[in-house]
Amino acid sequence: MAKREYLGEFEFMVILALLRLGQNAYGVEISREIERRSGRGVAVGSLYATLERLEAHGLISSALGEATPERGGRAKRYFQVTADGLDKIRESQRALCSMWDGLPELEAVP
Amino acid sequence: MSALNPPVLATWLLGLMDSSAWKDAAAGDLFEDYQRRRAPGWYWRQVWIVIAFAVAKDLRHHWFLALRALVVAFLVATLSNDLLMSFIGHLLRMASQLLGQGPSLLIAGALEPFLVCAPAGLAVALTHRKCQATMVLWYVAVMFVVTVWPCVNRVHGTLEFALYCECTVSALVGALVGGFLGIAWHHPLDRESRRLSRG
Repeated sequence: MAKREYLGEFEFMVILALLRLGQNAYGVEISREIERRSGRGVAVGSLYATLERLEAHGLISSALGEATPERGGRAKRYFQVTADGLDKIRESQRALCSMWDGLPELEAVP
Repeated sequence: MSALNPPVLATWLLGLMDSSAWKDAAAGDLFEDYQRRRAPGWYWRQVWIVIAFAVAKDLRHHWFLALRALVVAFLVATLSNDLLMSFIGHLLRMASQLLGQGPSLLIAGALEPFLVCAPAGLAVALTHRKCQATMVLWYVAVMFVVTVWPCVNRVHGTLEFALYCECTVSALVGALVGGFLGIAWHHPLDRESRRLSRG
């Protein structure tokens, strides 16, 4: 049987943040979105390492925007989820939901 | 409102990392976020994290260069040690006559490791134009492990331990100074800071 790789928790969060942000998904906005929704601080280095890994696996793609003065003359890199990425996150969601279902310990969470 | 420049030295360090696809975008994100946070401590921390990830990635992809950097450093350090031995011995005798044995040992303990490791760091930087900063940091990290580890087995609080610590710090500082002199040769700090100040 071929080995199936599941997404890690942070990879999951990054892909979901990209889906929520749509056309405006670049580094600063992605980290703010994750911080806002999970309360977890995001280091730019770890975010880009994750984005690079996801891109290498073909789950997301990126394109350079224009350089702007408020970024010290550096361009934004916009990211979006590919069709493979969507398949992967659905597959991971199904696997997680299947593990989640029917656990009485988790049903009565306040 | 004009843009607030983040710490120039941190930005310069970030610019030294090899040109990975995401380095410029990450630097731009840090610059943009710094306008909101305005905390140099936060900026420095983020820069070190970016550097740590970039170094790990470079070492994974260029392990042969990493090995070569260590060989170059070892050869140059051995050569400088041989060349400097008579000079240090002469200096030690002179200092011993002028200052006594204790202070002269202190001077030699600081000077010799520095003069041996600085050319090694410089050689690593000059012979590795690709991943230059990574190779210098890698050399310093290996030296740190190799020199600090034996400290554990030494009796703390003795003169021998103090001298060993002095030699270790001096060697690490020498390696860093030599390495970053080599890097600064190709990436002058003032050019980057001028570019930043224009925004």
